[in-house]
Amino acid sequence: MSTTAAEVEQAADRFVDVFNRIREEISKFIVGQEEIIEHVLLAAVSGGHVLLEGVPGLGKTALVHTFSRAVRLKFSRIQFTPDLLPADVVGTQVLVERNAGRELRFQPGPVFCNILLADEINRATPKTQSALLETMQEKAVTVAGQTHPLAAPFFVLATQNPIEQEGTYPLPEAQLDRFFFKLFVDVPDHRQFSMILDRTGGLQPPMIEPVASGEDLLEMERTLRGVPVDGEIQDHLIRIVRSTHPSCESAPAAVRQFVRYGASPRGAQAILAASRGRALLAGRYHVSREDVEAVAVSALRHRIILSFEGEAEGVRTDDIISGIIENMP
Amino acid sequence: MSSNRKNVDKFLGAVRRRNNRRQLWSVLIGAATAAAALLIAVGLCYIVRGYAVPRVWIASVCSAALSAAAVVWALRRSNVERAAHFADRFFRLQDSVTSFLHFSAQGRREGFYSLQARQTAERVAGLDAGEIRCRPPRRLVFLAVGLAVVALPVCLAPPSDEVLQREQMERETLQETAAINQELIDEAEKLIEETAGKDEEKLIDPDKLRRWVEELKATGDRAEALRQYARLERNLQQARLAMKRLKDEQLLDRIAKELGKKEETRPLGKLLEQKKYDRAADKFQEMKPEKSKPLDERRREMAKLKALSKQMSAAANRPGPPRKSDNPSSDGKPSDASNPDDMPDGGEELLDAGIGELDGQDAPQLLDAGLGGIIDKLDDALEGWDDGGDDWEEIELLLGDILDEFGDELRELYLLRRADDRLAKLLRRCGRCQSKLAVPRIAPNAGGHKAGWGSNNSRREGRDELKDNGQNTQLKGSKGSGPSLSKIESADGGSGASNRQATAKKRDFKRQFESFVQREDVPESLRNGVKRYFQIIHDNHESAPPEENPQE
Repeated sequence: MSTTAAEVEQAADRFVDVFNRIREEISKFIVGQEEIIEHVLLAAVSGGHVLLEGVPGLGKTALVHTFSRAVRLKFSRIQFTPDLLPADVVGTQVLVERNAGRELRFQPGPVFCNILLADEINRATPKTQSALLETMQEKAVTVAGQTHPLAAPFFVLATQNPIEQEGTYPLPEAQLDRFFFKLFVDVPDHRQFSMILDRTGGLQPPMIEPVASGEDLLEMERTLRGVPVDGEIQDHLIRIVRSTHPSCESAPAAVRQFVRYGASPRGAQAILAASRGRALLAGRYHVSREDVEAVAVSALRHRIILSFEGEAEGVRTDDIISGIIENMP
Repeated sequence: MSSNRKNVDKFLGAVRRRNNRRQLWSVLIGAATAAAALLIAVGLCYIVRGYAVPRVWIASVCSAALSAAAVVWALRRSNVERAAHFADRFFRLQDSVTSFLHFSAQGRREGFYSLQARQTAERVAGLDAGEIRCRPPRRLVFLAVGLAVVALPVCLAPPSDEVLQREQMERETLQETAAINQELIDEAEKLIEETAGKDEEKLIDPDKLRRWVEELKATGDRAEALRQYARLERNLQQARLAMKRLKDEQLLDRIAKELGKKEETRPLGKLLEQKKYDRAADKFQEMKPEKSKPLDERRREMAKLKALSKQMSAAANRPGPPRKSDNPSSDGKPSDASNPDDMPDGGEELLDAGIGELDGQDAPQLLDAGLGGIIDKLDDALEGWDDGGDDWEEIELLLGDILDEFGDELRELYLLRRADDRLAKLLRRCGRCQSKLAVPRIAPNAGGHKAGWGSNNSRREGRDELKDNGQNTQLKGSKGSGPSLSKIESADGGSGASNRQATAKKRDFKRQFESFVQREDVPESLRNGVKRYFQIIHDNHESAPPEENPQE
C-alpha cells in the first residue's frame, strides 16, 4: 500500500484514469447506461460480483463482453440451462493417457477465467447455481479433494430475465447476498435507441481496445480500500443498513410493515467499498454522505426480503431504501 | 499540514460568526413573528368584548418572546462542529470540513489523510464566508413586520364606550360598597358596644354579628354587592324573628288597654302601652305586699292587686276582639268561637292548629305559656284570698313569687324589645345601603336621542334611532331563596282586614273539614265532634250581629 502522500495521490490519479478509460471504451459500444457501467466497474474494482436484471435485448451480455475486451482479461460465458451440471461449470476430472499409463487429470471448467458471464443464471438448477455461487465466494474450486484457486481478478457478471418465470429457479436469498450489486437494465430512450441502431447496424462495429489489465484492476482495488471514511459517515451508513431491519427502532413504518428481513453486514461492506470508489472518481480523498446514498440502493435492493404483505402490495425494495435515505437525519 | 489547519480554522471561525449572526436574526424575527401573532390573538380576544388589551399583556408577551429568543439563540449558537456541518451543507463541500476536523482530531496525517487535508484547505481557501447571508429570509421579515403592523393597532385600541362606562361604574360601586361596608361595620360595632350585660349578649351574639358584617366584601359587581347585603338582611331578619315573643306582647297590649280603662291602673297601662316593660316590672314589684306595712294598708293593696289581677285576667282570657265586632260581651269575655270554654271536644286543638297555620311557622306560643300562664297563676292565687282568711301569710308569699316571676318576664321582654330595636336599626341601615346601591346610576353617556334631536311632535316618520348607553342589565332574583317580604309579622287578632290569602285558607279548611267528616277510617265520635264544632262556629257567626248590641 502507498504510504507517502505523493504516492497515494499518484495511485488515486491512476485509479481515476484507468476507470475513466475503461468506461470510455465500454461507452464506445454501449449506448447510455452510464450508471450501470459505472456500477459494474465499481463492483469490479471492489472485487464484487454483479447481478444484472433486465428483459432480453437490452445489452446485458454485450456490456459484460465489452468490459472483458476493454480490460484484457480472460472471459468466459456460460449459458445457464436446466440441464447444466455443476461439473459443466467448475470442471471435472478426466482420465488421460500419459507416458507411463493412465491418470486422472483435472479439466478446468469455464469458471477458470477472470470475467465470467453467467447468462440467465436463474435457468439452472439450484445445484448448479450453488456450485457457481460457492466459487464466487471462495474464488477457488474444489474437485476430488483438490482445491484449484481461480485467477485474480475474478468476478462474475450474472444476468437474469424477470419476465419468463416458467422453468426458472429463482436464486435463494443467501445466494443473492453474494452479489455486490444488483442492477436493473432499463429500456433505452429514443435518442439512445437511434444511437444503438447507428452503431450496431453498420458494416463495421466499434472496435474495443484493451485499456487496462488485471493487474490494473487489482491495483485499483488496493487504492480504493485506502480511502478514509469519517466515523460520522460510517455511522450514517450503518444507520441506513440497520434501518432496513423491521426489528430496528429506527426503521420507518414501511420497513416494519413490508420487510421480513433486512440487509446483512455484507451489504454495508459493499456500500462502503463502492462509496470509496465513487469518492475517488469524484476527485475526493474521503467518503461523503452523497457517496453512500448514491450506491445504497444498488447494494441493498437484493438483500432486503419483503414480507408476504409487501409482496402482495407490490412494494419495491428500491422505494423502501429511498424512503430510509430520505428520512435519515 | 499546520497551514492547512490554519486555513480551515480561519474559514470555520468566519463561518461561525456569520452563522451565529444569521441565527440571531432568524431567532429574533421568529420571536417577533410569534409575539405579534400572539398579541393579535390576545388583542382580538379583548377587542371583541370591547376591552382594551392590558399593557401587562403586551409587556409580558414582548419580554417572553425576547427571553425565548435569547434561550433559543444560546442553544443554537454555533460551535466548531456545527460550523463545519453548516459549511459542508452551505458550500456543498460533501463532508470535507467535517471529515477533516475528525481526521485531525484523530491525528491521522499520512497518505490519504494528508491529501484530504490539503484538498479541504484548498477548497475552503476559495470560499468566502461572507456569502452566508446574515439577514433572515425576506418573506419571514415581511411576515413579522406585517403581523407587527396589525398587532400594534389591535393592542393599542381603546376600550369601547360601554366598557369604559362599565368600568367606571365598577369603580364607583367598589368605592360605594367599601364605604357602605365600613358604615355597617361601624354601626355593628356601635350596637355591640351598646349591648350591655350578659343577658343582652345572649340575645345578640356580638361575634356572630361581627362575623356577618366582616364577611361583606367591597366589590365592583353591583349585583353581587346587593346579594351580600340581602344575605346580611336575611341574617338580621332571622335573628329578629328568633327573639320575637309576639303573643306576650299582644297580651301586654290588651292588658294595657284594659288597665287604661280605670283611673288607678292607667299609669301602669300607659307604661305597658309605651312598651316600657322595665318600668312596668318595677311598678309590679312595688305592688308586692310587705310585712312592714300596717295590716290595713296591706289589705288595701291586696284588694287593689286583686282588682288589677281581675282586669289582667280578663284581658288575658280574651285573645282579641271579635272579628265582626270590637265590643266584648257584657261579662268581659269574648263571645266568639275562639273562647275555649265554648268549644266542643277536640275543637280547641283544631282552633289552635288553625291559628298556627294562619300565623305561619313564627306564630306565638299557646296562650297558657309565658305571661298568660303567670297571670292565670296570679288570678288563681288571689281568687283564694279572703279578707279574713287564715292563709293570709301564705298567699302573700305566693303572690310575691308570682309578681317576681311576672317582673322577670317583663324585664326579659324589655331586653328582647331593646335588642330587637337595635337589630332593626342595623336592618334599616342595611336597607338604606341597599337602596343607595339599587338606585340606577346616571350613565356618563346618556341614552336615547342625541342632544338637540328630540322632538315634541307626536308623529314619527320611521323608526327613531336611539343611542344605547348599555344600561340594560337587569337584576334577577333567584326563585325560592331569600326572605319573603309578604309575611305578616304582627297583627292584632281579628282587627285587620281579611285578605285573599285568608279567604283561600278558609276554603281549604272547609274542604278539609268536608273530606274529614266523610272519612270512614276516622271514628264516628270524632267526626261528630268536628261536625258539631264547625256547626257551632257557623251558628256563632250567624248569631253574632244580634249580640253586637246587647242593650237591644
